[in-house]
Amino acid sequence: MIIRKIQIENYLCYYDTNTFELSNGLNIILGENGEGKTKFYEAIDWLFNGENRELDMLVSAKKLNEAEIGESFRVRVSMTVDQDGKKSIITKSFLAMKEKANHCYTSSFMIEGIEENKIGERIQVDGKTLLDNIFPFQIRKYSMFKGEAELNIFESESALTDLINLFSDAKHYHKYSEKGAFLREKAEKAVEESSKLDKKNDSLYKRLEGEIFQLERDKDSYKVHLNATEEEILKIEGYLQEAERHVSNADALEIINNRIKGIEEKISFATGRIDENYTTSLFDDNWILVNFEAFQREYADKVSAHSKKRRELQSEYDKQKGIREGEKKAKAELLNNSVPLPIGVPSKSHMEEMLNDEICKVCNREAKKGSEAYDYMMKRLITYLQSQSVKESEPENDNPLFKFDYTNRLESLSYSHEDNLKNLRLIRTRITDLFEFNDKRKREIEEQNEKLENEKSEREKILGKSSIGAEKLSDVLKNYNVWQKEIKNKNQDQNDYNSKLKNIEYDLKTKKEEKDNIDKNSASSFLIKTRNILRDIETIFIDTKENKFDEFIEKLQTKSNNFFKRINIDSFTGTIVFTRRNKVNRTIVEVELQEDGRKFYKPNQSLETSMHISILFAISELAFESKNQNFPMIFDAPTSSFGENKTAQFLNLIFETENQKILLIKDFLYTDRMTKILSIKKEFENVKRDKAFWVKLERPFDPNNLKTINSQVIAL
Amino acid sequence: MAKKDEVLKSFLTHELLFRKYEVQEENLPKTVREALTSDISIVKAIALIVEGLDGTSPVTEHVLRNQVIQFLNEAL
Amino acid sequence: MKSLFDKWKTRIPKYSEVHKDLFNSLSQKFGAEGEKKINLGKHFSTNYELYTYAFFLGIYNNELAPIPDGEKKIDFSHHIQHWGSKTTISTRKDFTNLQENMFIALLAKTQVDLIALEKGELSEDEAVKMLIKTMESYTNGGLILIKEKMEENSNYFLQPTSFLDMILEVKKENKYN
Repeated sequence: MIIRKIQIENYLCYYDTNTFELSNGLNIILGENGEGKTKFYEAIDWLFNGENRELDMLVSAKKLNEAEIGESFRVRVSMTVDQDGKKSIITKSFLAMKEKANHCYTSSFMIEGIEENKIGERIQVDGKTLLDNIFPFQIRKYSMFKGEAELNIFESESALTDLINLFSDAKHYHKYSEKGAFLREKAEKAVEESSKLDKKNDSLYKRLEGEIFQLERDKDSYKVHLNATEEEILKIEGYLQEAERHVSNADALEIINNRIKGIEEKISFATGRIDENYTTSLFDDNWILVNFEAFQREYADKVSAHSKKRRELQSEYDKQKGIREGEKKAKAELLNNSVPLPIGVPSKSHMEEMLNDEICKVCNREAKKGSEAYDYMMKRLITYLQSQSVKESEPENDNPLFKFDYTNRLESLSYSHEDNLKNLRLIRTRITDLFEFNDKRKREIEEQNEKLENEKSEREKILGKSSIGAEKLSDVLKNYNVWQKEIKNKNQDQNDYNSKLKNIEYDLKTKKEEKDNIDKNSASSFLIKTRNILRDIETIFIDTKENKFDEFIEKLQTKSNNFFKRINIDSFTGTIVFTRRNKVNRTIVEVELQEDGRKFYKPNQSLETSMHISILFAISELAFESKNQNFPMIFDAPTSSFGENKTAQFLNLIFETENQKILLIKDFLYTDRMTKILSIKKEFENVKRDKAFWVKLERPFDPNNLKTINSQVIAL
Repeated sequence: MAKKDEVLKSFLTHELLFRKYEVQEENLPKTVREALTSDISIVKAIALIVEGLDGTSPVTEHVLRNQVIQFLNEAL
Repeated sequence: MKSLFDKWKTRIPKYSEVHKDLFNSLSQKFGAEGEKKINLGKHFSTNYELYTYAFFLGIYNNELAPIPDGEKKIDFSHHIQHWGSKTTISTRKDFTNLQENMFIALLAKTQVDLIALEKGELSEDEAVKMLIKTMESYTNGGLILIKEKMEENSNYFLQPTSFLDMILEVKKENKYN
C-alpha cells in the first residue's frame, strides 16, 4: 500500500487546500519547529483515528477570520492510496459555520471512501471499512511514530507479543496446542474416571489428586513469588547501575566490592565454625562426665568386692554341701582353702592348651601327666565341662545358695567403663581446646570486621568522587549499601524459591508417577494407551509452537541488530536481545539492550531511539516477508537526539529499506544570522531521497496571532 | 505445498517421534493425505487433527475428538 | 543372668513439684530442638536433659537432698531407657550411654545388699526403688544448687557457658579418694 497524495484543507495551520504529492520510497518533509511539520502528522493521525469531538479546535483560525458570519466552509483531510493496482480515497471532514468572531459551529462530521477501479470508475464505499482494509489498525499502530518519547511502543507487556502473533506463524499453532490440551485433558479424565471405579484405589487416588492439586497450587504461588523477586532484583540492579554510573572509577569500585565480598565470606565462614552449644555438648559429647572417674572407681571396687564375697560364700556353701553329701561335684580343693577362681577362668581352651603342653602357663611350672598339678587341672576342666552340660539329674531339690546372678552384668559394666576411662580423662582437654578454637575464630572475625570497615569507607570515598550534587550523592551513598544488602537477600530468596520449586517439581513428578501407576493397574489399557499418545501429541504441538515462536524472535533479533549496527556505525552499539518468558498463564516477550550479556541500563536517548527504530524496521521487513504487503511508515522527528552524523547514517539506511517512508525532520534548516532568512542547508542536496518537501509558515507572521498562521507546502 | 502440509511437516520433525515411536526420517509422509494412511498410529492421529483444523472443512472440537478416539480404538 | 541396670532403666524418676517452675523455664516437655528451642528460650531441649544435668551436678557436689515427705512429686513420662536417644533430630547425637554412667554412680552411692538380692531375700523391685530414691535425692540437690545460683544472680544463666561452668567448677576432690 502506498500513499500517493495527502490533502489538508483548513485544518489548524493549513489554510485552504494544501497538497502533498508523495512518491514511493523515502519522502522527507523539512520544517522548523512550530511551522506545520507536526501538524501534518497530526492531520494524518486525525484522519485515521480522529473522533467527532472538539472539532472547533481544529479549524484554521485564518480561514475562520476571513469568513463572514453565517458562512460555512469545509475542514478536510484526504488521503489517496494505491493498493494492488486499485486507487482509493479516504476523506475525513466536517463543516464549520462561523457564528461570531472566533467562534464556529461544527457539523456533518463524516468519513467517506471512494474506490476507483482500473478503468477509472469510482464507487462510493463505507469509509471506515475502506480504511481498515487499506491500513489495518494493528499495523497502523506500528507504523506511525510521533516524537522520540512515543517510540517506545513496547512499554506494554503484550505489545511485542501481539505483534509477533500478528506476523508470525506461531499464532497459527496456538489452536493446535489448545486442541492438544483439550484432547489430552479429556483422555486424562477418562483414565481417572476409570481408575476411580476401582474402589480399592479410590481413596488413595483421591488423596493423590488432592496432593497433586495442592502441589500445583504451591508451585504457581512460588512461581509468582519467584517472578516478583526476580523483578525486584532487576529493579535493584538497575538502581545500583545507576548509582555506579556516578562513580568516577568503576574499576576500582568493582575491585573493592570483590574484596568486600571476600571478607564477608570469610566472616560468615568463621562464624559458622564457632560452636557454642556448650550445654548441648554436655550431653552429646559427654562432657558432663568430666568428673566421673572417681565414681567409676567406687563402683568398680564395690562390684569386685561383692563378686569376691559372692564367690567366697558360694565356695563355703559348696564345701558344706560337699561335706554334707560326701562326694559329688565338690570343687577341687585349693591350697590353703583359698577361694577358687570363678568357673570358666582360665577358659576351656586355655585349660586344654595347658594340659596338652603339660605346663601350667600361669605359674610356669611343669604339670606332667599323672602329677598332682596335672590332675588338678584336669579335674577343673572336667568340672567346667560338666557345668556346661545339661543337667538331667538336677531335680535333686538343689536349693542353690544364690537364686540370681546380677554380678555378671554388673561386672561387665565395670570392665567396659574401665576401658573408657582414658576418654574421660581427655574431656577437660577437649573443652579447653574448643574454647581456644572459638576464641581464635572470634578474634579472626574481629580482624576481618576491621578490614571490612576500612574497605567500606574506601568504597564511600570512591563513590564520593562522583559527578552528582552533594545532596543527591549522599542519598545515593545511603542507598547504595542498602541496595547491596537487599540484593543479597533477594538472591537468597530467589535461591530458596528455586530450590522449593525444584523440590515441588520432584514431588509432583513422584506423585504423578504414583498416580500413573494406579492408572496403569486399574484403568483399561486402551484408555491408558490413548492417553499416553495424546500426551505425546500435546507435547509435540506445544514444542512446535514454541519453536515457531522462537524462530520468529530469532529472526526479529537478527534483523533488528542489523539495522541497529548500521544506524550506530562507528559508535557504541551493544546488542538488542529478545527473550521469551513464560509467565504464570501467558507468554510475553521482552526486549532489552545488552552489553556483554548484561543489561544496559538507561541508555542515552539516541541509543534508545535507534534501538526502537531498528526494531520497527525489522518488524516492517518481517511483515513484508510474511504478508507480502508493504505499508508506509510515518515518523515525526525521530532523530532529534541523533546529531548530524548519526542522522545522516539513519537517512542513508532508511532510504534503502523497501517500503514507503514519510519522514518529518527539522535538520538541514538554518536561519541566516544577518538576513534572518530561513533556508535549507547545502548538505541536504547530498541526502538520498525520493521526494522532499518544505513546510513553512507564510511570512510575515505573528506567533501570538493564530490568524496569521498559514503553512505552505513547497515541493523540492 | 498447502498450508496444512507444512504444518504437518513441522510436527513430524519432533524428536519424540524418532525416540519413542520408531519413526524413520526417510519414511516421513510428505502430505496430510499420505499421513492419513500411515501405519504408525501417532502419525495418523496427528494427521487427523491437522486435517480437522486446517483441512478443507474444519470440524468442531467434539467431532475432532470423536474422530481421534475412534481411530485409536481401531488402531490400538 | 539378671540385670539390675535393665530393670532400673524402665523406671521414671520424679522430682519435687517445688521445682516445677525451673523445669518450665529451662526445658521443654516433649522436646524442642534447634530453632524451636531458641525460639522458646530454653537451655535444655527436654525435661530429662535437665534432670540428668541436675543429677550429675548433685553427685559431683555431693548434695544428697532427699525430697521431703511433704512435697509432692512429679514425673515427666519418659522412661530412663529412652533418655538421650536420637530420634529424628539431625543436629544432636545419641547419648544413651549416659544412662550407664548414672547407674554406675547410683550403685556406688547406694547401700544395696547385693548378696541379699542375689539370694532372693531382697526383691529386685526393692533394690531398684532404693536406687531411684538415691537418684531423686541427688537430683533434688542439683536442682537446689541451680535454684540458688539463679537467686544469687538472675543473669548468670544468660551466658552460653553457664551450665558447663557449674560442672567444671567442682574440682573433683571427691570424698572418695
